[in-house]
Amino acid sequence: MYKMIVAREVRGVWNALNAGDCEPVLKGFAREFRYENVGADHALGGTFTTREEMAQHFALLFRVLPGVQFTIRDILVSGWPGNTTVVVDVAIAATLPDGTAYENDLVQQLTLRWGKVTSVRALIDNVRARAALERLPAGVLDAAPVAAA
Amino acid sequence: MYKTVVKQQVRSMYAAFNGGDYHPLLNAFDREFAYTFVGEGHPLAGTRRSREAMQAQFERILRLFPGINFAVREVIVNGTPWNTRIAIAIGVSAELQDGSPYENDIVQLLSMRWGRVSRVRTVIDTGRLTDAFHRLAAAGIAEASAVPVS
Repeated sequence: MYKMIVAREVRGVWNALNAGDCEPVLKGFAREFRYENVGADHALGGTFTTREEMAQHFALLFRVLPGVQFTIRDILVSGWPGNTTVVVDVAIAATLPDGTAYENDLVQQLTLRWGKVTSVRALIDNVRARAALERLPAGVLDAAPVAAA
Repeated sequence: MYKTVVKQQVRSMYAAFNGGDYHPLLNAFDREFAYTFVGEGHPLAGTRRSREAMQAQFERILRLFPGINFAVREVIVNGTPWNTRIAIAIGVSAELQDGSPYENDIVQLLSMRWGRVSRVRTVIDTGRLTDAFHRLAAAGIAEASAVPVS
């Protein structure tokens, strides 16, 4: 039952992101957390530890990939409310400003404690992400990664 | 109980692979399966659907990364014996044949039916992987630039 509730809440957060609303994600973080885009040495990479950094990251994401859609393939939940692990398998699809399609696979590993997210490790095909960023027109990317680890 | 058994089997298969024995992993596949490794334009990319192709893939991994070590960090098992989904978080490390270190993060997503693996998707940081292939190619390892096994 608890795992079903967690999975439903995770879906709700991603549905909000699909509508361009990152508030449910931000509210889901614990006071102390760490969000790491693993190995992502490009503009959509970075490691974040505050809600402000996360908000900036989402602002950049929505600017770079307007209308981006996240399709949840699966959510796996393990553990108990005091220490829950969630793995979210997500397909990313967007149309770049040059009209070309961008698709990628994202796997997020989350740790939750008493309903709040304390850590996220996001794993993605970074070669494909970097190739998409290189197709962007000049000026779209005027921000480097928000924070360094 | 079932989930504990599956977790033990998963850890045991990777322990065997760390010893150079890929047969426990190979034998886990169902008669029909799809194994997809993310990325494109690198020698491990793409989808395999036969045991022969999987064997060739495993042998290629062991040739390209001799002594490779898969450290299983976490195994999550959800579902029933007839529809099991598994996520395996792995830290991979090896010393490349030019002497440089290689480390990466992998998540394997598996579907299993009655103990047989029907689908695998390997998600990895393709940036570090591609960089390793470039170093191997520069060291004269031709297979680092080979087309994927099909």
